[in-house]
Amino acid sequence: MRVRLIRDVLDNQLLDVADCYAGKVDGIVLELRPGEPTRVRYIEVGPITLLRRLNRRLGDWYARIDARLGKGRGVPIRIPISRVTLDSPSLRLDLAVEKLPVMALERWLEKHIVAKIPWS
Amino acid sequence: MTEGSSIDAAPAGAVVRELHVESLLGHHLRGAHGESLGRIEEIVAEVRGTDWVVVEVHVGSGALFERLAELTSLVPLFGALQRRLSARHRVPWERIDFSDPSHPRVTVRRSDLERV
Amino acid sequence: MKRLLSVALGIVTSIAGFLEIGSITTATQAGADFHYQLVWAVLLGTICIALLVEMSGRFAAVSKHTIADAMRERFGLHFFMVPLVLVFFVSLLVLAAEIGGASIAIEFVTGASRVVWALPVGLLAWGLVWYGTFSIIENGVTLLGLITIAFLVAALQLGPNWHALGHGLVPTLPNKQPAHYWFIAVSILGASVSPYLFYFYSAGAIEEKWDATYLASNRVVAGLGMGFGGFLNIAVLVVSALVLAPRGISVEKYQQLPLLLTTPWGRLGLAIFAGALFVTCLGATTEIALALAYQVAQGFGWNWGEDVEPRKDARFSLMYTITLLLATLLVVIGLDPLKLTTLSMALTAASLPVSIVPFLVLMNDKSYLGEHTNGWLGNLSILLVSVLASVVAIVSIPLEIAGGS
Repeated sequence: MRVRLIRDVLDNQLLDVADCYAGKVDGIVLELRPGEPTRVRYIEVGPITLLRRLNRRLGDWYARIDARLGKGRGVPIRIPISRVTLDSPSLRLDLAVEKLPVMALERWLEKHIVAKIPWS
Repeated sequence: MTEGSSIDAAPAGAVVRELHVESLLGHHLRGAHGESLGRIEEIVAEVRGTDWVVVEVHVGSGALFERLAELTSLVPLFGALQRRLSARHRVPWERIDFSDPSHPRVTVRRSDLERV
Repeated sequence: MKRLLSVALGIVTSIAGFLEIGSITTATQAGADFHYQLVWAVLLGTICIALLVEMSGRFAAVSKHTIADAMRERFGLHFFMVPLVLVFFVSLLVLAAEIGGASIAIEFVTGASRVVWALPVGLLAWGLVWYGTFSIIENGVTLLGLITIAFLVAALQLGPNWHALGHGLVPTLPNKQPAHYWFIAVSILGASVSPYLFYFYSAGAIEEKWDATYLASNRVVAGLGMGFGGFLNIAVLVVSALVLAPRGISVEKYQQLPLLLTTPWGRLGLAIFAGALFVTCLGATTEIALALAYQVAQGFGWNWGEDVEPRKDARFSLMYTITLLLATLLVVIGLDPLKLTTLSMALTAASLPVSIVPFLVLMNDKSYLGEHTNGWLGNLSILLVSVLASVVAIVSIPLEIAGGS
């Protein structure tokens, strides 16, 4: 099966095992090993990759701020391609979106802002 | 799930490099004599088991002209113009030299390229 | 039977939800300054939005995508950012105009300034979206807009010049103030053909889990609902032509708007006008706030849904919260609602090609729509209208601001 990485993968919707929205594919990482065919290694999701596409400096600035929020932060979020299947036009992950670091902002907003509003 | 760095060291000291598809999109692909063969518009991979192997690149006139082609497709009167604006050519991945990822080069001429 | 009721409800909510501060203001100005001469602009705007709303519903039902989601997927991040940013800012101004409209409605009956009412109105709209469901907003709030039938009653009671009205259906050149004429014409188009409506409608179709079996009902709702809504819009223009034009009243202050119904009906007319303005602007406020949040959330792949609890889609919920807050602040700082309305409508018209052209390309993409793509005639007519509207808007906006005629 042939896959058009830009048309069918990049910027397409990611769904998790429970059909929840898990963001869009913001980047695709190819791995070049000497003597071997080039392979797709990861997809990247999250604001660092997204902002770097718009403006490198903006993305790097966001990455520096994100790094202050905890260990392991401040780097693009990568998902191995082995965990992704095409379910055209979306892509399906074989894990729950809650396990993804990309949900960290959603969880923070829910805990620190939304939960404080009565009857939410 | 892993978060990798840009360069990993592989066994026997060979260097594994990474390229980002979204960074390659829109770059000019230069031919044997430095002429532009077109802009990278699509990268095609083949799924072989759990591996997605990159096999070819499609070059064309670029995103702006692609959008113009789509615009002309709205009204069939402009069919010929649309075909011309959206023409793409196929370049096998292994023929492309990515030593300088910002300036990918290939040792073929435009006339050698197969149309998509 | 259930489907039939759903179609009937859809038609009624489309009629009830058609009018808002933009369409009321622009139609009033058109009738006051040019009698029936701009009826064609209302008709053209109505036809366009009926076609576009039908397309939005068809796109969502067949492709199971919303427009914003598909725009990023199809055109990539960089191209997607252009309509996203432009539509966001223009729609934010429209949102502020709607909050202003609801605020001035309360000012008309209480006498207290709109600036005082802006925060409570913004808070009320936020509460409806935060705690309500899509059904409550789409059906509950919007149905109250049936009060706008009062404009049709007033128009019929006052007795329009049917001959002149018929003439007005055909575009003619103005015999005075050409820049103002064309500015009002494009403002009318901008008031009817608002991009936020397609984002809202396509998201609504997904929220309500439409599929290809809804295509026929979608056509009926879009055609009849928007069509009858357009009649109400024409009724506003007619009332203005009968009440304001003979008295030489050109609408330059929002305080003049209630004259439409106070002149024939006195204090009852004021109450009805204020009620109609409040309800329609409140409905539009909730729709625009949701539409903006839909556009951003769907474009970035976040969890979204009016029927989802805010705790489960925090980014989406806070997105509409922030837009409501920003728009409310624009009213609180005292921006004139009338000027804000006419300018935002004209800017909407000027930016139409940016939002409509990508949408039309999607509507012709078989990978999303299969056999349900647009015909070339539909493409051409929408394309022509949006490009012409944009060109005329770009020319007439500076002239209007400069006070030229």
